[in-house]
Amino acid sequence: MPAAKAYPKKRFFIEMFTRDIPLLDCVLDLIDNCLDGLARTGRLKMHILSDDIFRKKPSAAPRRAGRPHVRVQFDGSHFRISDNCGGIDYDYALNDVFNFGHGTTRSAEYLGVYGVGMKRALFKMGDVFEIESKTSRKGFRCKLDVPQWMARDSTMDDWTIPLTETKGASGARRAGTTITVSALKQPVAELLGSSRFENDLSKLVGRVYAFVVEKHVRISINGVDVKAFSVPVGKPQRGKTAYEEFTYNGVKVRVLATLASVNTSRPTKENSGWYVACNGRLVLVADTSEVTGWGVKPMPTWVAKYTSFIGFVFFESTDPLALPWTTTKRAVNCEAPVYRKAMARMAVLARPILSFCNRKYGPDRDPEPVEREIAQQVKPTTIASLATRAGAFEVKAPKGAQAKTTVRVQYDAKIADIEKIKKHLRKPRMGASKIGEHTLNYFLRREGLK
Amino acid sequence: MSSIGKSHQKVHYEFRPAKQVERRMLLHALHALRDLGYHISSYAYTGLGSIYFIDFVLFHRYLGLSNLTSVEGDPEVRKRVEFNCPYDLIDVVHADISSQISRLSPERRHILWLDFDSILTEDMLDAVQLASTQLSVGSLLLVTVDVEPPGRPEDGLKGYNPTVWMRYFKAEAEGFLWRGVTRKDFVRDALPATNARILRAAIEEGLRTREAELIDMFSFLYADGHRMLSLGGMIGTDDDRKRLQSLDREELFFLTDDIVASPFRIRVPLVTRKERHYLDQNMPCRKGWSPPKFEMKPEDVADYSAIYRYYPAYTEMLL
Repeated sequence: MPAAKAYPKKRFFIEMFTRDIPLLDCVLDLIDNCLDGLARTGRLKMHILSDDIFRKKPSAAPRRAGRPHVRVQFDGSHFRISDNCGGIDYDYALNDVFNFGHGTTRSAEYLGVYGVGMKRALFKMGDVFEIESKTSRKGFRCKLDVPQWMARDSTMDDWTIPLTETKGASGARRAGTTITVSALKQPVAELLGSSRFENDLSKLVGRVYAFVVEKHVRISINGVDVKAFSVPVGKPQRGKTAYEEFTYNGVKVRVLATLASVNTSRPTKENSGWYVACNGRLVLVADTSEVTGWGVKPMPTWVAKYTSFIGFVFFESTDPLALPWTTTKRAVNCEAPVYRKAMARMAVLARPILSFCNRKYGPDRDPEPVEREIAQQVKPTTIASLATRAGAFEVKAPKGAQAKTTVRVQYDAKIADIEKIKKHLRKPRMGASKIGEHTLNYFLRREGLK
Repeated sequence: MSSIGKSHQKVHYEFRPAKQVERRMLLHALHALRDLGYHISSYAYTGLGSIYFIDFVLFHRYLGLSNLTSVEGDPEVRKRVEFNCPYDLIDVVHADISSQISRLSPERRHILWLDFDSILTEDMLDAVQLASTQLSVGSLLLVTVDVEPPGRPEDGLKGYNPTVWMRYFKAEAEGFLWRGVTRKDFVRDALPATNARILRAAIEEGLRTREAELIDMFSFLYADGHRMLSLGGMIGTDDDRKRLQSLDREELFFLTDDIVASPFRIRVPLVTRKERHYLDQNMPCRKGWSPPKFEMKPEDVADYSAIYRYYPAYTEMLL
């Protein structure tokens, strides 16, 4: 039987495959590669990350000096990322690393999922890249001129990248990888040459790796250490926050919802919403879109009165493919059953907090609801201290505080109508607010409601 | 969202015979579930007790339920509700019902009666969806709504017609309406089925990510003034469904297999005490029987014959 050709074409991977990913995400993919070196060498285990996030006493993270270091350096002419995170094994590089997609057998990695991130990033950035990597056993070096490589695409034998075997690192702490990209593509060179990109990247790295950076790894961008984003998680003085955990299709899911802390500054829109993490990497940060259920029944659309809301969802699995993230790892796969299950639980856990926020800012002007006082006294805390016992959000009003039973009614009325009422009631000195009360009471009595 | 309307101000709950018939039928069904092996007395009951707590009294007295929570959303009757609470073991929670649903323990089984007394709103549907997400397998969910048209006849034909009602439901129940919905679905006679269909869609949406389904059991249509619809059933598995098939459907004739298509209409004919006494002496009666001593329409006899076991007796009590 004749068979149609279904060969891959390099051009597709080099020119098409790279179109949909922003440069910032490419850099994150390369940082993921570094962190996976730590996973492969056993220096960063997933349970260590979890323990660190959820235990009251953080696990012993390495001191700053002994912390693995990921250095990102770039300007308008080159991009380099180097680390001492353990390196890539020569045999692993020979058989797996440069494939497009992983085989069925693969080494332990917690962030590298699809086997496309590094290649896609390199092809996106420039026409020439060099990789040098050493484990404590052996190492390799390779240099690729991408246009030349793309030109040879007749048989599957053209789909190889020449590697030179080198000696291993002199010690485990020196094992690592350096990737340099040169002959940058024009739009990439423009971005890498701007200080705005540097600031955006630093902020993004601090957020995406909020649970990793400064604790388990040091990441510097153009010589400046990235600071971990501090999530303004808070706990009401008198009450409980919402927490639950479950396992679904081999993925452990933890959902936590609370109020933003009020420390030196008030909660901000920028920090409000859901934070979604997969294996410790924040995939969504302060999301207030339909992706996390806002505006999807039974969740309301996010509006400013929900600024105090902060929620977390942690997905964790030793099989990264089971996690609900996309290939960019900066978005979730909303159709993944585990994510849909989590979304249903997120809506349940969020509800009492949203009701609290609704009471805080009711539809009518209400001078001082007790909820505002409670929200102002939310103290900063850690995720670990909130993720202890399953339960729903509940706050207790301060002693003596009473729920309000009145609401202020305000509207514009025609002066002529007010005058008519005064005349009709034969009370020329009656004020407009008294007339408002009078007419409301009249309606209540007339309709048998009072 | 306020958890209750103000119907306690409009009508004395104790003089709502159709509602009481509904409660007693529900009680009967719960007894049957108990006989089937469901440990009903250990269920937690959450309802909107208002100031009368009638369902709470029935469930505590006749089923032995002792984990009882009444949710009250109206801060104006806070003291009154607590004053009227008949048992110390009833936990009166001042909250909106949706928040309270989030607090229902997944570790135990529940009977949750969302006994709303006004027309369907978006907030109610949120509560229904949350309930079907939160309630543990084996729990019972019952939702009551007013199925009269939105608005008032006094608004005039312009503001009180099926087109206006359709607009109302499109605004409140968006996402739960089906494709091809038309004005005909909102004429007065179609409103009970339309409400039921919307409610079922909300329940199913809440169950979408769960390995459980709604097993249809109850769909009561009645009117002690306004037409009301109570529907629901068990949040259960296939095993529960099979188990419930062994319920005696002849005995529990008011149960339904389809909460939308087959509601049970509770009609309470108006009879005097003397007539009632006579009718009772002849119950159960054969089909077509009519009382020889006084005039009574055949459909009233049939209605009476269906509900006489559950029909409450009212008498003046001088306290």
